[in-house]
Amino acid sequence: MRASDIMGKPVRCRDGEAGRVIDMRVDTDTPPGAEVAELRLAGLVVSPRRWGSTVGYDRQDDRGPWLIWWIVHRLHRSDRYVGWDLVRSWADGMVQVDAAVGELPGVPALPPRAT
Amino acid sequence: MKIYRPVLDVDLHLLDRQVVDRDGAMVCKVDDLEFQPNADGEPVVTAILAGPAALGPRVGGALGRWMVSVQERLRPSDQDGPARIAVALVTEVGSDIRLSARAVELRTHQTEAWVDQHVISKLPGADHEG
Repeated sequence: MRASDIMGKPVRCRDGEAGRVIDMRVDTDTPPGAEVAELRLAGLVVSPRRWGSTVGYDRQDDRGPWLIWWIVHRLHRSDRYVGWDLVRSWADGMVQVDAAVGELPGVPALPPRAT
Repeated sequence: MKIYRPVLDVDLHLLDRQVVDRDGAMVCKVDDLEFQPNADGEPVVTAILAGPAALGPRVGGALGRWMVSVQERLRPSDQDGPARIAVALVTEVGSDIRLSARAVELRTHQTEAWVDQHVISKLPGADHEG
């Protein structure tokens, strides 16, 4: 599987479409700065809107300028996070999710970068 | 591999990042990522993919198909698909992605090398330095 097989694809829940995959979250299970053995796919960031997501304002709480942060947060307030364990398939250009749209949580904020 | 965040978002932190070799020389950009199941069946990043054959599917549409098609025609016979850098070679993920290998050891510019060998070098005057 490639990232391009998932990125940008529509996400179909049990009761309708939740948007498109605008990002894929990987986690490490290790403290920041430690040696990492593998980057495991943890879930998908799903949004009805693409605009503004590429600068990361929608997923980070510690970034200014605040006016842009606020606008992007408003635009992305309906974004949803789909844990990879809920993904049933990603064939035929669509990601099938075993949950209703209303059951999906919001996108957890990204932790700040360790120095 | 050293990473400064406990979680990364692929589009935000990995795709299109510059890949740098052990001597600081630029190798390529991250055009796509390969995932394969680990021992527990969970998908993990196994390789960085680079070149037109990796970027084409991300671009999509007629332009994306054309990019893949060009790469398939202008490539060495022993390279199938995009250039691939195993994630085991990655030493650090930060503002760029650093490798433990040297750029010359990686087969990331095979299409350019093929064009140089089979097209550019046959042009009149190609043996003159600029």
